[in-house]
Amino acid sequence: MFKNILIANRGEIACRIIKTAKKMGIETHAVFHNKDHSTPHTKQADYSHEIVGPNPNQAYLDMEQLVGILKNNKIEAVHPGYGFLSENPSLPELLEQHGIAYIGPRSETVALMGDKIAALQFAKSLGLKTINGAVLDNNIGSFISNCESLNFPIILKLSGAGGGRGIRIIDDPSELSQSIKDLNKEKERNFGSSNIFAEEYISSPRHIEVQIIGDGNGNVRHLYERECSIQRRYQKIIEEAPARHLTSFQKKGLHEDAKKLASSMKYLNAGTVEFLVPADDQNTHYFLEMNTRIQVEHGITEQICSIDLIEKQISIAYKKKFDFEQKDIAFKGHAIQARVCCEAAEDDFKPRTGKIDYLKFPEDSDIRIDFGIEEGHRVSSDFDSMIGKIIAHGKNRKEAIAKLEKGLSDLTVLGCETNVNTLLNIIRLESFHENEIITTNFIKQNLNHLINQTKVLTDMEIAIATLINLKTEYAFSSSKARQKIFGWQNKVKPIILHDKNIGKIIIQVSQICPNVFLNLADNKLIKVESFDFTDSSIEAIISNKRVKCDYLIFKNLLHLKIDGQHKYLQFDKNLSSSKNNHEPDKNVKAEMPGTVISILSKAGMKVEVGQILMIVESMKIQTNIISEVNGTIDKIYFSENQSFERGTTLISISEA
Amino acid sequence: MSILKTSINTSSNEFNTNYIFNKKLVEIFRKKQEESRLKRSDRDITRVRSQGKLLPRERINLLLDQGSPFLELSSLAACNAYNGEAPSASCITGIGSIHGKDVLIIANDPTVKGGAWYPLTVKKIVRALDIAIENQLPVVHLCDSAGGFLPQQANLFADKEHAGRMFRNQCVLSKLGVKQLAIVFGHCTAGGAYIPALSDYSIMVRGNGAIFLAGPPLVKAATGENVSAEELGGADLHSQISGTCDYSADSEEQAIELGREVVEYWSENKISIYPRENVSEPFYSPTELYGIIPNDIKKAYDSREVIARIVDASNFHEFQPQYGKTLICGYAYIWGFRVGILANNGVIFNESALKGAHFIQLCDKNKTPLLFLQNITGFMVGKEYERRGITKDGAKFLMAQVGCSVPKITIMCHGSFGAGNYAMCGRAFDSRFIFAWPNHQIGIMGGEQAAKTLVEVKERQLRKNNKKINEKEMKEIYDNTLAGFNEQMTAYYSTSQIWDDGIIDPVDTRSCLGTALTVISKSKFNDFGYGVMRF
Repeated sequence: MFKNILIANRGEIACRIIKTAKKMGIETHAVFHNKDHSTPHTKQADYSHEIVGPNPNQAYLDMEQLVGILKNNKIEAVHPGYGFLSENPSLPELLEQHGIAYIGPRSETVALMGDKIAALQFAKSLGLKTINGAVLDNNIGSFISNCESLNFPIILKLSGAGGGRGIRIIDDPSELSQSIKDLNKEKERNFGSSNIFAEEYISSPRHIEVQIIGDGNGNVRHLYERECSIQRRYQKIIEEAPARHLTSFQKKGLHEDAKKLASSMKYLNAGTVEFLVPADDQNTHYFLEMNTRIQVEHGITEQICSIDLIEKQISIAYKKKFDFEQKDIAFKGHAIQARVCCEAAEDDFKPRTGKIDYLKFPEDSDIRIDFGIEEGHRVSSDFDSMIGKIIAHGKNRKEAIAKLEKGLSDLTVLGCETNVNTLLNIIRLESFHENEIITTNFIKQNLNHLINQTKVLTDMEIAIATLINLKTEYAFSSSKARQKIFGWQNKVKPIILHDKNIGKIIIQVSQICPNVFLNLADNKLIKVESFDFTDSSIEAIISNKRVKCDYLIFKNLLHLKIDGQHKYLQFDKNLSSSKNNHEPDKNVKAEMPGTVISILSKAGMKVEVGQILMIVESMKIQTNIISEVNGTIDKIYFSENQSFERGTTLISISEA
Repeated sequence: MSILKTSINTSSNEFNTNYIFNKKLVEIFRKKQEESRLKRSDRDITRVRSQGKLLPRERINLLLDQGSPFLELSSLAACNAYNGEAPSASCITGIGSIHGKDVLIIANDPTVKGGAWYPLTVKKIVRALDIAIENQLPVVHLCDSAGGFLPQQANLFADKEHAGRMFRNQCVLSKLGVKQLAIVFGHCTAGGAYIPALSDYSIMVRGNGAIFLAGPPLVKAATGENVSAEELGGADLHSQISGTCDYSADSEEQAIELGREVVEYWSENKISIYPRENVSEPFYSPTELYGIIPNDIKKAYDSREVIARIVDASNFHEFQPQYGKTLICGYAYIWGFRVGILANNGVIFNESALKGAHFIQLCDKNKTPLLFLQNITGFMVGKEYERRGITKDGAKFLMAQVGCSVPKITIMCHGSFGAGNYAMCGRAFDSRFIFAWPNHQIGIMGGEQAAKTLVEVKERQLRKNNKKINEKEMKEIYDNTLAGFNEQMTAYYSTSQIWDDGIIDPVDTRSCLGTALTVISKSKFNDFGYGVMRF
């Protein structure tokens, strides 16, 4: 076996790989950029090596530095994880030159499958069904006319892009030329060698994928399929295995096609073949693409098959030989994975940044927790918004859902907004439980319901927020006797709780000792019988009900975890009638840290309300910076590719 | 300790009469206080608002912690002066908390003559700074003042306790390590410029805030230079160039928030005395005080009934209950703080004076702050008492009271006449706080005694010169003296002159004392020794 391996990755997948390597007695080496200083993967590895770069992303993609570390430390193999270098054919090639093993497929396989168009053509040549489409090869005119002959709507894609990036849905041929232009721009920025291609858009598709593993000699085993239809922004958030609503015949067809594709390439190591199954035509499955790496959702396959995929990856990379037969692989029960991401469902699932200063994992040993962060972790715009995964395995789907629900309810992440509530809302939906077919439209169809769930603030939550506010305002720090004259000869400022969904809630506190009394609108009174603060949680009896709640407050932001639900609230400052004499400039400020992608305005230019001034990218999401006033641009403070912090002024405009 | 027994019958006619009488007095007081705090002409309010300013009480409200009780001092200062032109003496002083730390706030009131300093404004600010010095209490100045009120300059500028004393006190505070923060909301001109300059920390609001020794008009007159207030002494000038202020803010709210942040990092004083944990409210309702305080200054009441409605659980341990019975002495707790109470139950006799001196020394050795509940007509007079040395016994009482190291607080409960005022720790005797009830009267002697004395002196003079005594003339002397005394003896006259730290509703006595004791508990005690006592 390898003496040592290097994990060219970070976060939960790096931790996951280290865990198996340790179990196998292999020495582990991690790499890290300064922004990941002291993160769990660097501590869990036997050795960790710093890599540098103008930004963390570039550091993790820098193969030269990697080779230096590998040679200096006489490292025998590299596991790329997912993302970063995992689908870059140059890495296995480079490693081969240096006599270092790559825990993954051969370079040419990675290259072939990495090019979406070539992959589709290859699959087609093997008799796999693919979606009708067209490819752009230099001649835009003929591409447009080829597209026009397809059934609209169609979808435009970039061959080298993944994870939901580089995608445009076209409803009408008239939109084609503009969208091609846009996509070309995106291609130049991020996916240099990509091609644009078009496919007919399938309106209610299911996303089904097959996990395979090959020995490099043409022998391929499959490890059943996964259903990954619950997606937002074209990215999966809940995955399960096995897939439902497919006959064993249909499943067999999927498994066989996957194996056929892989064995014809003499596929080496683990991979995933992705298919699209139209919900209204389940006997058909279209080949979509193949991921030549370990997947985020590999855990559910591991759970149902009782197999360690990382271990298999490492041993195949070493021995180039299977140590198991297809018949040895049976599946048991049902597994579901939920991806915990820092994002806000009600804000179009946009990523959120922050510092996770409170993190508590479920204590239940019946649930699998794959996380790569710990308390104090800073969620920045440099990386993907996923911070970890919760995986539940039950003897049937119902049990798996119940376990996942408990796991998610017991997970507390405060300091940065996460999708835990949304995940809970999804798995609590009737349509998720019932025997309905779930398509990739699932989130969109249920969006209102998913968000509506977070639109109510209970008396309990209001009271807890008020108690925390009072505590941070030192109301409870004086003697009991003094607390009894709360507000004496002074006004008690109303506490204004602000929630972007609910609006403003005004709370007037009338007494704090011996009981706390709160008055809300409509003469509603809440009585807090008792309360006790410990560290970062509060236990209270409110209106005769006992409640325990974890919380985190920084400045005027309050994060609560109460009744298994995360709440993200804000206190408004009590601003009275005083005007600001000193009008600040009409500055356009960054709402999130990020990088300037392109600048569509310049100093001295007249701009109107709604005009796009700049495009910025933050956590892989591009946002238009729009003028909110009519006026003239005074100054643009950043140039392209420069990065900025949240709240910094990007552009100043003087009003007309 | 045991709960004091009461002999008050709350359904008696007497109780009821007193109750109605005192309740009325408190209503009048509340109305006066309300007007003094808030009643301003629309013109003044509009002027301040149009400058984009907050009213001073809004500033204080934003500055203090949520719901922080505010022990306001001398809310009726200058209520009987300047034809009522300067309510609250055009400033607000008081104690509240910021980030859990007690601070003394001195806020100019720009709705009163632009926050100009009248002589009584100066007196009120000097007194507030004295409180800060005595109690090592940090100060936050909310500056927005036009400066000295020029027509009154002779009464506020040059003397020892005039405006210079404010700056002297600021220097003393800084020397003692007691922090001061000034937030400048308006102009600080001439002398006023020193308030932020002498503060350890200062913040200015851009636009409105300005600090200069001479404002633009005076500069123009003196040197012909044309300059705007902002250029001459604005926030940016002082925070970026001159270094006179530390921070500038874009709005009053921002300045106040910044001020709160500055205070958050202030160290706190060493605690001298800790309160007990368990605090019970008085067993008897404090509102019964209305029925206990007599409706006539000449009528007596039992001070133990007052004590029972102020102290924790109405518990009182009386010292020497059978000796010198006209001065009640004993221990009690208020908000958990142990206090030694001295309360009058009639005129001071030799034994009462000796008992008082003895008890003060006990409290001194017992690290127990003293609480004086004044209702005193004076020391006993007459041949018998002079022969027994009433004067030298009174002197011992004074020596003990002045010499002790423990802090003192005084409540003017009813009468405060003659040397009794002094013995029971009147204004001249450095009480850390003096609060007065609205019914209280104060003077060198009672009005009637004074009028009778003056008539007697006049008659003796006339007789000596063999002049005829004119009854009508005598009556005039009597009436004028009485009228003069009656006016100057009232609680309002006294509080207007800042002889006390404010009139309070008797029901609030406990809150005032509790807050005052909290402040005192975090201060150093004096280290005076005793003077020579004449035995």
